[in-house]
Amino acid sequence: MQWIGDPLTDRFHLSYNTVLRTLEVRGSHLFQKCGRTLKKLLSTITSPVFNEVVIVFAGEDVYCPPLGIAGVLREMYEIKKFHLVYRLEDLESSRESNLRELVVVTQKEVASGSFDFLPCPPLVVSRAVTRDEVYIM
Amino acid sequence: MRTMHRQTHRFPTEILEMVVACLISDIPSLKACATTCFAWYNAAAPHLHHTLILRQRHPDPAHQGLKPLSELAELGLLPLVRGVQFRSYVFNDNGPWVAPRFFSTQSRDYWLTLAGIQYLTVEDLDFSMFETGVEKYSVHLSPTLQSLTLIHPRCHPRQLLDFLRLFPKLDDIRLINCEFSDEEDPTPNTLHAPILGSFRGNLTIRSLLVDGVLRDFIAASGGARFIEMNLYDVLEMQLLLETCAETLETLRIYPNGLLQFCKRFSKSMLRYLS
Repeated sequence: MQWIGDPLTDRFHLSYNTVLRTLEVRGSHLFQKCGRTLKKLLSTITSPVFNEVVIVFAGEDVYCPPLGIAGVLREMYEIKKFHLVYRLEDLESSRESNLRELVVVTQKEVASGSFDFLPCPPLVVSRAVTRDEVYIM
Repeated sequence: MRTMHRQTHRFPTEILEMVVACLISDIPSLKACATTCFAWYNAAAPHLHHTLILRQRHPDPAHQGLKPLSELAELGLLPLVRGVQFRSYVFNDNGPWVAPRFFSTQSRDYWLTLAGIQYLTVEDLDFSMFETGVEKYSVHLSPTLQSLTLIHPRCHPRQLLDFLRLFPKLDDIRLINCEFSDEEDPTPNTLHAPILGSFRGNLTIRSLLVDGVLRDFIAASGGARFIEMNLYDVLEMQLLLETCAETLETLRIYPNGLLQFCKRFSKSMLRYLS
């Protein structure tokens, strides 16, 4: 039985998906705790074109980034190689300032060597979203 | 000032439109552009009137309900509308407001003349309110509608399926917190026969915990070929993944549902309270 708050369990796998390129994960403060589930899901990917993991941040996540995210990503990378993208999805009004903050946070992590397992640092991008999209994110 | 005015007229229209399009989410600037001169008005007006928001409650009664429809029609601005949103009032005791009784003859005529609508969002759509079928009020959107967002719709799964299949160009479907009735399968609408064909494009689903609904959707429409899926609390997620095995390129998942749910709930409350 699935309950609200348990949307992703070990029952799901991506072994049938032959053209899957990107796995997007909505960033959250409990990222570290779902590392096992994410690694399991990643290990089921058989698509030959898979090459990207996108961590999606909403505006408020930027000032309180997920704990232990680099550690989880390192373990995920050992299972499957991918390019890492940090994507901020925010309202146009606050996007610029929050993007700047996300870039600073990411640069600090890169400087501290947290992402030395990656061939290149995470790409930081942003996308303006409407209030509707923020609501349903 | 005179020189500037002349220079804007010499500015190629295409360039002007590209510059103004950069302000698409900056309404005050768009309004300022629209008051500059006729050429700038022409460039800004389509963005200003791109989305028509119809609210159940509004501090100004002139902007409440379907009244903006008649105002836009009188100003000849309806052809510029490309998206329509029906917004509900969160503390609403009178039930769903998107119902036939709110469509007076005049507002219904204006609504039915809307052509070229590409985006439609409806909050609290209760299909049972439409005795003659919701299709009667939406079939005119069929040739152009590309994106449909239903927030908390109440219906039988069959009604939802028939509704979705009215729009053959639909490539962005968002179903948020659907509430399915346990009543018997209503008689299929034969007046506006749904178009056969599999769903495609992008799919977003929030909270669909009823077993068998998606299986029936997929079986009845001959498959699904979504390229992007954004799934949160979907019981038949694996079925969707397997059905779109040869088309799915991007999958978005939410590993921490409960936290996201709490955040979303508090955000939505703040949004309505403000």
